[in-house]
Amino acid sequence: MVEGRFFDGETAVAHDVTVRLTGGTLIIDGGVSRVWAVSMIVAAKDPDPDGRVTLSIPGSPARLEVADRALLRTLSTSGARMPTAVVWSVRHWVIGAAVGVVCVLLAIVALNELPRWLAPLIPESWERQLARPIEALLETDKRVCTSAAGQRALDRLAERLRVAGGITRPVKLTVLDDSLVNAFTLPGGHILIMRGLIDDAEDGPELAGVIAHELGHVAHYDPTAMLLRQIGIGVLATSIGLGDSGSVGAGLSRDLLTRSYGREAETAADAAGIDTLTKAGLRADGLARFFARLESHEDSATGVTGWLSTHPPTEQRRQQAAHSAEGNEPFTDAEWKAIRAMCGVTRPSKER
Amino acid sequence: MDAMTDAQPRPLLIYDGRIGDLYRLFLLNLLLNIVTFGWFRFWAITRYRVYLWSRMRFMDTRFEYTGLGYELFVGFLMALGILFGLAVGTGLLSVLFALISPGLIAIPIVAVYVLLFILFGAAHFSAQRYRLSRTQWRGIRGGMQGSAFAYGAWSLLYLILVPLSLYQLVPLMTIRLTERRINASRFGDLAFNFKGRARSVYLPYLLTLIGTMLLFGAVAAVVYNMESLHLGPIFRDEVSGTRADVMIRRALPTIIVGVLVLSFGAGLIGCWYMAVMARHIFGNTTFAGLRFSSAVTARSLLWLIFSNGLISLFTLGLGYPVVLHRSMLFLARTVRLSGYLAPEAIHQSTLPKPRTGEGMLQALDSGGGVL
Repeated sequence: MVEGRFFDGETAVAHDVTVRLTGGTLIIDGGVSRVWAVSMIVAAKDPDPDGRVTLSIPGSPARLEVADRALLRTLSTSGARMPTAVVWSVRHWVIGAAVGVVCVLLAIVALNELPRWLAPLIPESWERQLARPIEALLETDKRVCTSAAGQRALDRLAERLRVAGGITRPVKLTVLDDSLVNAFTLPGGHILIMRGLIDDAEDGPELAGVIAHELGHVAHYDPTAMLLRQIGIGVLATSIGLGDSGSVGAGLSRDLLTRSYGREAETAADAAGIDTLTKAGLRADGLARFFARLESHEDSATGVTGWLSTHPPTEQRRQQAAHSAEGNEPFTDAEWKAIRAMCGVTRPSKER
Repeated sequence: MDAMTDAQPRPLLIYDGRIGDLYRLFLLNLLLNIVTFGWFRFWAITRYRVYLWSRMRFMDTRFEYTGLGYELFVGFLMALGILFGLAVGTGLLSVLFALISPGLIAIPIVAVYVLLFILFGAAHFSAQRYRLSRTQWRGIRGGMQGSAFAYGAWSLLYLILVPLSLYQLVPLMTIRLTERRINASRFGDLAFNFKGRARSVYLPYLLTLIGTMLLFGAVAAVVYNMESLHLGPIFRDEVSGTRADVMIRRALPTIIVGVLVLSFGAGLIGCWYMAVMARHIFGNTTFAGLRFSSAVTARSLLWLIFSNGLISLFTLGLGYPVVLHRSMLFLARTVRLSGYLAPEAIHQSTLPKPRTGEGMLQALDSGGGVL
């Protein structure tokens, strides 16, 4: 005979009852009397802190609370459904924590590496689709400079560098009328150059250096990889309730314009740019000179949001980019003049 | 002694959950949520509730949560279906109306917005109905009587009236809507009863409103003066476009600090009103012979919200079990009861049990939450 508390599911009165197990049935007695078939009994998962286990029959609100271990053991061996929660020992916690840490590390590696492997596999048309909203956004905000002579000069350089760099997909160069000293690459090999950067460049080799660097990003699929990474982070954050899906899409285009691809990718793009210029037989000292001057007037209003903000100067970059001035000029004098006049006004480079 | 006869208000809810247990739940839930891209959340919420309900005692008996994860899941899918249907229906109707006259295109769009606001209010009512129907104590479950849509319509009415009254009707809205929800609530066959008076919380509300507005003005003035170099030209319309963006970005750190100060300060001021409101609502609520009251003070509420906020912030969400645990302790500590409750007077509820739950709230509010 075991004591327990019984709630009949009709009123909230607690009945003190005695409980007896006979054959396949549990007999509840005291004030009320019930007979429960053991095979029908379901127990709540693990005992409450007072050591009591609540038993019930599916579909009925009646509840029986018993604490007797022996009775509960007998019930579970005679066919009652008694789920018991695993009590976590120190070993469980250690394994759990280790699994958690491994999962987080795997997620970080996956987020960093997977996009880099996947980006080259994405069809070009998809890449262009990804870039379209950003292009539309930029081009409604800023005027596209479409002077034929300047564009021809830029296209000729881009084509030489594309061939020299072994890039098989088409590359597009666009100049936008904006005073920011900036340039960036959209998915699908579309390089956007702000008029401010052309104004700021002292000569053709400096601009060619920046273009070669951006072509390095095209060759390495960096913009597409970053978009994929952002999408991955967004999906993951949303899935565990850390962010909302609405902000994921909104953040994408902004990130593409304001965030660096990371130190590794920048160094790789530098190396690729210089390699390409050298292979094309052009001067490769422009990028280093351009960086040096950007740093010298870093505190100007545009420095913080311009190219320097996404391309932080490093000692490594200075050394790597400091290459010889040997080689051909990337543009003829006439071409350089045409490029500088692309947005309609010619500004002497020392005016700043 | 089965019935309680003490006339003195005292804490009768006892919470004895453990942070370790909650962390075990949290880690498993987090892992399964990541693996399933978030679709586990319905089962995760249910597992939290099963645990928390079973660790809360009233009059020597623990609560029991009888809801199932799949009920929340199906509820969510149904809500998504309804919203999708509404979107398609509105689109089709707009096209039809436009064929008659282009001016009529607004009619279905306005109608669907009105309907969405009603659904949003109704979602809160039916979520409470679901939770009560899945809450059991001494073999008796709760329920809710009345129409969720009627509640949604009332909440829409107040949402229209409040701006028209220059936000002076906010306390009235809170009290009247809370009245509707509490008075519709049942446990077994007995009803909860709440009769509030907006007048008695109006003064704290007005002072809070004025205080918040003054704070906003002060913070805005300080931020503007500190960054007048960058913000001045924008307000004087001297710059626009990219230049203005650059200026704003330069002033951004100060603006962010300003917003933080403002939200913290507004929370500080708001806690007083929230505490007054909580005491008013609890203090005027009865159930059978029991009278509720609340020991919430502005200071204790402020500390709870502030410290929980800091824990969430600095643990990047990994402190969630601690936050949950502290909230439960706070609830058990502040809810007081006095009077007499005869268990034999509570009979089983005959109200229909909703088959699914909280879907619309999940879909429209992206929340629902555990508690």
